[in-house]
Amino acid sequence: MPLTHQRLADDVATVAATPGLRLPLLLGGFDHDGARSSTRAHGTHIVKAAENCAEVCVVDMVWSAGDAGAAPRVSVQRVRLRPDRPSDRKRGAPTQAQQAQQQAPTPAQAQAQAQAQAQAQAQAHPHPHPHPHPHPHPHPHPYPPDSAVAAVVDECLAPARAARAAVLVRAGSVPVPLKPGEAALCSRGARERECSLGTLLAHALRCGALLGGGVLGPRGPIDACHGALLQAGSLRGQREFRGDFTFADLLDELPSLEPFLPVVLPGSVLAAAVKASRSTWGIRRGDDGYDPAGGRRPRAAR
Amino acid sequence: MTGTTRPAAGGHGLHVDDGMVVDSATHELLQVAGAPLEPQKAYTILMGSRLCTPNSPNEPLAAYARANPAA
Repeated sequence: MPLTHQRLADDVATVAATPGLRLPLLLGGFDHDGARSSTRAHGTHIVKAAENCAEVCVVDMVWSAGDAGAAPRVSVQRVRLRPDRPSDRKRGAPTQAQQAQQQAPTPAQAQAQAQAQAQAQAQAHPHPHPHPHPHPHPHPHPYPPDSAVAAVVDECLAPARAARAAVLVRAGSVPVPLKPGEAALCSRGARERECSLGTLLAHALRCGALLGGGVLGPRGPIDACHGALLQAGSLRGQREFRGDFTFADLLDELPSLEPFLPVVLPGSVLAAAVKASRSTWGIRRGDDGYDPAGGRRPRAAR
Repeated sequence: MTGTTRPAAGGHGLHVDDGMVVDSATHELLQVAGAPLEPQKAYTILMGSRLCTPNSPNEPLAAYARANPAA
């Protein structure tokens, strides 16, 4: 049974290229939209679950007794682990209602669901958590976490939780000047104007290059950088930080960041690059305010 | 990270560190590392690895990368 991480088209090509194997099932990744990227091709069920653990796919393969050469019967049940979000519906993932209408569970699945539901009802808090939910989960699903596994996960994640709470910038001690109109460290409007968090993170990148004893460039170590650039699209929070700025805040702001490299270039090119990159900044895009992707500016009271 | 990237106007705008000064009205770069910009001077600038490549969304950097493949 192949386990892949490639586009659906490549999965289809994979099973098409191996007709002699008569693969009953291929479990795939890469595509994020779950049911929309699952299909049956050349006799093979290609199954992909939605991104971010929003759902899991429970797959049963059943072989008929006495017929070893026959292909197994494959059934797929999608189990939603998170509440539906509008973005999921837009991306084609099945809603909970749609998922309930999908393929009926096998007897084994139905039995597992019944047992899991009974277990969930018997336990006031089905999984150990340092901050138990005060109310039952609004969207219970038939597969609650295994308490033993959850305990191990909880223990393993303790250092990560502690790291997320680490304070990087104390409230009121922002090491770069705030921008006009800002009352605190801020990433709002990062796609249409300078903001203090953008400056701070670029400053931090440059300091890292300075304090790290030099960074390794394409021609060897470089002692210092004259400056640092950070693309506005890297900042995702659109927030104002009136309290401490923590490592968790940093992860929210920069969920992904490509590697950074020192580049040697003339001042004229640097200036042209900065100017060209900001050509759309500050441009009004309609009667209702600014482009939401760039941070909506509050409208004046009428 | 996949699935969270969203194309957006202004997203390619470049934020600069506090040693650079940019005119907010004209977007002209005035200072680098706290000193007046020297157009002919070679500066070492830290940036995302894809920013100074021939396929960069920033045309001046893309043109520079195409003209200086060893840079």
